[in-house]
Amino acid sequence: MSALLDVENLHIAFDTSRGQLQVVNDINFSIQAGEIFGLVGESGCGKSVTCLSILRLIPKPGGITQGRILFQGEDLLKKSSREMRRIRGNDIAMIFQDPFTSLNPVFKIGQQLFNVVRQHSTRNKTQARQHILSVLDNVGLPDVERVYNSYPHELSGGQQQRVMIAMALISEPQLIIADEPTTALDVTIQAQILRLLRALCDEHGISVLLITHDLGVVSEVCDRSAVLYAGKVVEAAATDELLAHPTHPYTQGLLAALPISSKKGSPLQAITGTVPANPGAIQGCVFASRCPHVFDACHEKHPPQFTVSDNHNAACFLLDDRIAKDNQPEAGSTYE
Amino acid sequence: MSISKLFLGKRGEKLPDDNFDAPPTERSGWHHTLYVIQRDVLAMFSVGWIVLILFCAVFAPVISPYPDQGRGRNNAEARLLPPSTNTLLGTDNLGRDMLSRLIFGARPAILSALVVVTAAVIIGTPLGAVAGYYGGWIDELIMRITDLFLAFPSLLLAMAIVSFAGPSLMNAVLALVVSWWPWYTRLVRSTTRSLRAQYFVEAARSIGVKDRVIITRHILPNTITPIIVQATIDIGTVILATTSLAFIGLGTQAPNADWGLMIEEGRQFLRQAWWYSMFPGIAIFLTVLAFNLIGDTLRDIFDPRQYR
Amino acid sequence: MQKIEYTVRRLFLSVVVLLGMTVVTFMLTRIVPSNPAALYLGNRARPEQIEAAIEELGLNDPLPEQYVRYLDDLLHGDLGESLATRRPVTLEITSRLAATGELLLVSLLIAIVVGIPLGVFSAQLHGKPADIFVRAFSIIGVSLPQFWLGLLLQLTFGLGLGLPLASRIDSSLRFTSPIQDITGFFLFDSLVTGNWVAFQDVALHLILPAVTLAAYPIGLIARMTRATMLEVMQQNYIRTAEAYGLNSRLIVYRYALKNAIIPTLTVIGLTLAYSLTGAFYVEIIFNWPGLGLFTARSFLNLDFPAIMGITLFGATGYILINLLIDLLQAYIDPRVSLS
Repeated sequence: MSALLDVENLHIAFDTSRGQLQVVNDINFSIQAGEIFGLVGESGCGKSVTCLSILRLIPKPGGITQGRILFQGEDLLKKSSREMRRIRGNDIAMIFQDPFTSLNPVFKIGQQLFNVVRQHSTRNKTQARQHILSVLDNVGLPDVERVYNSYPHELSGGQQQRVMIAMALISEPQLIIADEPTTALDVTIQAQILRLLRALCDEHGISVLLITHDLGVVSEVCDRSAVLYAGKVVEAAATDELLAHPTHPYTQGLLAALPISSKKGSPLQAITGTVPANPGAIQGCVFASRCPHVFDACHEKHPPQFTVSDNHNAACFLLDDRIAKDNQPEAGSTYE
Repeated sequence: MSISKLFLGKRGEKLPDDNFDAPPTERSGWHHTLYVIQRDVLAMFSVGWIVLILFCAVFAPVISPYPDQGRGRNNAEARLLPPSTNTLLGTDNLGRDMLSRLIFGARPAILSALVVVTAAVIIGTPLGAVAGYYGGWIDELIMRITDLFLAFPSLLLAMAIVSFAGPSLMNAVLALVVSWWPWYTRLVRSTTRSLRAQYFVEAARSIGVKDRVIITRHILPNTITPIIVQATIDIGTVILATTSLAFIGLGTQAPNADWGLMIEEGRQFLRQAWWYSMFPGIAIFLTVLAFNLIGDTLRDIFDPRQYR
Repeated sequence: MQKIEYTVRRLFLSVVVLLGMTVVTFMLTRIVPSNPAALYLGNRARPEQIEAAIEELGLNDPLPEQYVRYLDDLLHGDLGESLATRRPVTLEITSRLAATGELLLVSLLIAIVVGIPLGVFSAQLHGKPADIFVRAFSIIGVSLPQFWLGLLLQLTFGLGLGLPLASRIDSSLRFTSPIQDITGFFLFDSLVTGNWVAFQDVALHLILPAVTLAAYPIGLIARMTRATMLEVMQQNYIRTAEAYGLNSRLIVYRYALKNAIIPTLTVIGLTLAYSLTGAFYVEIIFNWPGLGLFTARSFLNLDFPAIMGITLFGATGYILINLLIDLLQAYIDPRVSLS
């Protein structure tokens, strides 16, 4: 079965007054139909810009410098702006992190959703309104008539995010890209939104690309996940497998840093060092400067993806039998 | 470049490959300012023109072809002559060479503008800083007085003062200073207020730094950039004001040369000697334009929210 | 509730400022270098007449008493008598309001209709080569000396194309096609009474002065619209609109503009206030029979009562406009802080 979305060799760079900044450096991943795919990483690792690139919405001075993004087999990077407009909000819909600023403050909710319906379908006024009301109901909003006639600032954060999800669902897309949809919300609302996304996937077969920095979110709803660091995918696997057998030292570090992982009374584990400012300039592995298992080969070039097991890859020389035989710790070991 | 390229642009397109090798360059503050100015055609023109005008103002007697006429001596035979090789911009009603008159006219324009703006800044800044920093009744008091002065349209106030004190350039300048300082009080006050609310001020106060020191060493230096932008633009605006006042007879008096005065003098000869009113107007226009453009460029440079 | 509180407070403050102004103008009338009584009577007055006049005008009374009387007169709408025409200053002012008002309104309309689209257009060009031209255009608007622009237009369009150079209307029309006086606004009155001849003539007379007056406001409005549009286009909700494939005309002219208009309203109010002084010059140049021309003549003739009356009137108008702008802003934009 061919993938719904296939990202190949994606490179994204920003043109700044201090030269070109490589933000995403050769990313590859694919999403199947009917699954929730998680993209995990710290802030600045390039995950947001990756999902913007799928819809070709990267603001200047940034741009895609290389790669292909195949949606249902067609390269989105080759499409004209008119074709992209037909895809945006229609086949692929996006939900943003802060729902409050993502809605136009001077227009009513109903009006904003109505504009989307009119853009992508031929429904007349009454049909459009009916459809909107039923979608608002589907996402779990109470009193849909009132919401329809409200302004964004009259709703709570959780309600606003549900409205955004409704906007995404309006044209029955195949893929929803959700950029940290729960980060700005209360923990209780978080759970509800995540459950909603899961239900949409299970019942309607909509795939979701879920961006997050929170491993808890990933473990809750994602079928498969990829870990991003400094613009590169360092590990990708089915979520259960990833959490059970983290192979890349960065993934291991992330899991160890969770408060749950530490023994009560002992200091919290942290990954020493900081994310490199200009990862494009680094010759070897981008994680080398912070990796506890670093050795010579790590500084020569960035490691390619090695297979750990079925559908589980990691980009680490520790997995290269030829080089690291002596240094190799057991796959799946955690920090002590 | 095709016309459509002038107007179109697309988001998220691929960058051309030659961007890969752009070397990062570090520039210091002033250096960066000069660099931006130098790249902007309009800014370069503005700087050039301003330098020219300053030059005229300072060296008027040296560079004008007929300095006496510039100061006001008549030349009755040469009345209302069109531009020629002798008199490049023509002559006025009293036979005086327009070019010389224009060059001398730069003096009241620039001088009065510099005086007004400097005085307004000197008066307005401390008041604004005190009002913004201390708040409370001092703030209320200063702001009410400021509002009072701001309530009068500056022209009206200037006209009222000058018509009572007698029309002259000096009185016009004084009147303008009176109407101008409140703007700087307001500007400095709002900047000070937002700075005051920042944590570093709280921190400084908590370790016992005196208020006066905080204001002079921490707050005022941060108000310099908005003041500079505003002052630059204001120089142009004051030139408009002084020439307007001269136009209605409340500023520079004849036979002194003043761009606004010259426009008024030339009004009755509009049909037969268009150069009389037109050239001084162009001079005013280009000078004000230059200051506005530079002020705009400075604002773009100093504003952290870059849209470029 | 907060809004009402705010309104009351602003009203109160405006009254305070107005009172302050009356003090200032009162003081100015008493600081007049020459003897006000002598001025009142004219050059050929004899000393005894001047003495009598001083008594009559109450100029020997203590200042506070004079001030109270002054205030009292003001509240009754009495601004004194014009030295030049011997008619009440208030009457001189009110009879000319319509002429100046019409000029102001038409120029404001021109400024909005030209300025806002210019600003939107210029925002869209941001960063592209043509941006320079548009930036220059709006900066030109605020750099032009208005009195000179009027002359320039007179020269090119008046002498060149034969557009009328002065006055509001061809005086012969008073006999051939008189305009019925409904509001005092010639354009409106002639339109509603079907007086096409007069309407055409009035419109032609209005073009040059209104355009001259509109130049500066066009510049201000265009720049403000451009700045707010640029800021609005950076907002997240615009990104959302793009992410959902909405077409760019909808995004710019409805989603963005509706947000950008709010701060622009303030500028529009400011330009109205600015135009009060601009109208002064325009009226002089085009011999427009309005308040500005009267002001000029009063200053020229040193008609002090008229001068003070106009100053007070002008300043009051200015304050009222600013007050209206502030209140309008507070009511339209709920995000405005009312503290």
